[in-house]
Amino acid sequence: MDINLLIAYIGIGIMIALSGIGSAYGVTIAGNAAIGALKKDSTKFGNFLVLTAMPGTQGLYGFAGYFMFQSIFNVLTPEITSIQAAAVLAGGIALGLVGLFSSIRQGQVCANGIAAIGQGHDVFGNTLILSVFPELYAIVSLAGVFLIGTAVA
Amino acid sequence: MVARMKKFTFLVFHRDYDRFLHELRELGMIHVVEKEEAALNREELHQFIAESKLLKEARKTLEKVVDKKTFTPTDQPSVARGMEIPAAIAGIEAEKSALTQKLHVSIREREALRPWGNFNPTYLKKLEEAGYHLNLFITPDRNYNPEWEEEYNALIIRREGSKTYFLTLTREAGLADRLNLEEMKHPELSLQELDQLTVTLHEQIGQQQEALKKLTAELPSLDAALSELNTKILFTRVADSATPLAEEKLKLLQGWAPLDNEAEITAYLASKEVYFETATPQPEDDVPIKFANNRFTRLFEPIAELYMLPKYNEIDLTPFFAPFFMIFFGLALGDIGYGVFLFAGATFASIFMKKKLGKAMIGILRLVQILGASATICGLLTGGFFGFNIYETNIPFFQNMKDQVYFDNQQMFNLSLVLGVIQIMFGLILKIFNRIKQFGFMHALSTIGWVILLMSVIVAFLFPALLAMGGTLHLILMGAAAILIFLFNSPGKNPLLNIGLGLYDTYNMATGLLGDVLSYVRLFALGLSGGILASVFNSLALGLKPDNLIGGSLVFLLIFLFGHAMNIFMTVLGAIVHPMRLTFVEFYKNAEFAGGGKRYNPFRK
Repeated sequence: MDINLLIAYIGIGIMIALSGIGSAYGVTIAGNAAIGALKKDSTKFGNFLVLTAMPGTQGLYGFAGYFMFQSIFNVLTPEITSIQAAAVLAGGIALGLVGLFSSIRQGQVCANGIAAIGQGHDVFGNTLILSVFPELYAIVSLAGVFLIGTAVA
Repeated sequence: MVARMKKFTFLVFHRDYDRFLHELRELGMIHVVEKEEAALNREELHQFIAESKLLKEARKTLEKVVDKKTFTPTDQPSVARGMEIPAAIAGIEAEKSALTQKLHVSIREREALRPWGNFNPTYLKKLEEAGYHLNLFITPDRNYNPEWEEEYNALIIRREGSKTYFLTLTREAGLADRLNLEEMKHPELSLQELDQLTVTLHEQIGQQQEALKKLTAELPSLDAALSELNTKILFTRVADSATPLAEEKLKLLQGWAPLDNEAEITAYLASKEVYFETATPQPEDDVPIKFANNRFTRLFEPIAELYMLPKYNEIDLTPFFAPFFMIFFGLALGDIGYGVFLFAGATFASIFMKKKLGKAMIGILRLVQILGASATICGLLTGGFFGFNIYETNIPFFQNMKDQVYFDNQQMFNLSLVLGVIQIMFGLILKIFNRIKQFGFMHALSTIGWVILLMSVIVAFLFPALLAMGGTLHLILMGAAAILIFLFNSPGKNPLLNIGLGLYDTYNMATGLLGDVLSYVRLFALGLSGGILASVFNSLALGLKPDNLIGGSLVFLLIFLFGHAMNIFMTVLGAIVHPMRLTFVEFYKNAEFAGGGKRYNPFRK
């Protein structure tokens, strides 16, 4: 049914868009901090680059979620049932929202770490570890999307 | 493993103290127990630190201007010359900023004078001397009154930007106030002179910049001065760390050295006639930590150091997390091709760039090799190879292998959780040994109870034939575990308090263990998303390439290389950081790792 496919694609759209927007915000927050910190210590660009890239993964998870529905579960077809469509929508909202907020928050953790490194504190390793705390929930959401997909495929 | 240490206490006559310190530094094996920062308040030390800061600043300044192509460092670095560099730089910078200031002023003046054209200011002076008043006025066009030409001999010089620039020539003074007009001050220099001055100033600033560049040849001297100063700082700190005894006649200094070096140190100190005593560390001692690991585990020390060094009396967990970390990295990366790429890259670098790389870097390359190999092997489970799946090909060899080792997504999901359970159980078992080592057997009883309880559930779940879930034997085991958990969790305390603590423990375990195990799902999700992205780049490369051979292969190659380079960067980053978190949070917590040890840092030149 067309309406089912429509609902499913709305879910896919939400999933890709929100997680992508979140990552864009996250890497921008960290990137801005990195540019400021470079003024103080230009030798640490390598560290800043790695920390700035950290919140970039959520956008990829959103995309991976789409790919799972498309290629692994093969539910995005005209024959999709209403339950499957609802599952795609729910999974999309879950991963989209968690990706959005977790990457913004992760970007803030990274930005603080970058600022601290710029001021001469040796906290690269600590920041790396702390910054994956918020990311876990986006990973859990991706695993959730996987479980949802397996349940309805 | 942590190297066993020995405590050294030295007693030195105050006159011999300086000589003794030099000998100790020559030996270079003793980690001297330094006093807290606050206790070290000798003026000399502060001066050294301030000087070292200046030198570091100077280094930064010179590094900014250094011309790498023409850079020729001095052959004979000299500490004395190095020490003078900050003052020289400050002189140059002051001169440069004064010149820049002048330049800005002359540029401003030139801009103001430009509408009036080039004339000689001395003529204005001569007119003044002759009793005339010449005023230079600027007014908006609409305010200009042509009658002024009659009254005050006004002459328009220029009209520009709706402003009129004109001069008046009168006998009486104070025309500006009478007409209420904006008057321009008589210039000191002509336009031409100002232009010349600007050029000269630019040249002078350039000369100062050149002088700064010339100074970069003394960078080795600066480094020599810095290292000399660092030696002095360290020496002063160590010298100040002694406790004076017997009206400052004697000095007492404490230090640590690895037990393995004891014989060598004793022989050396005896030959120098130093009075000292040795002792084994006591539990209350803050012993510095030196790792003593085998070749494999040593590679993982940099990862362990990212968190905290262990305390002397607790178990160093590096050998125990190393194999897990290796597997976790492999699962999170999960691509045969990427693994081979990492392994080959590290191997290549370690063979062809061996001379350029330091010992620490070689160690890291070895670690990359191991992690790459692990990713290759773990990649065989799912069959990903740069985003393609080797098990989807029709090659019989891979089809055979698929039957043997292939894991589908659901199995990978389960595998991550199972690995989590294994590592957490392993952590709990280590906690038992950690507690026995630190506090004694009695303090480990409740943890033993937990291990028995959890193990019995796991065994009953996996092998019901061996141990029936809820059967008599299982109930007995669980009962024994409960006794240990609720009555022996903190020996020597009131049993009621023990029960309360046991309940609290149970709550923590129930919520904590569940979260900890679920946290390992990330291994599956990271591997899956990395693989998906890799395959998407392949589809993009195949889908977007045009239909001719050369253009097609070029576009394919570009997308393929760019996409996979980006994906490798992101997935490798994730595959390092996430297993690190699993190690430091889930594993360390369950193994009750406290950490906080100080690194063994011997006093040497």
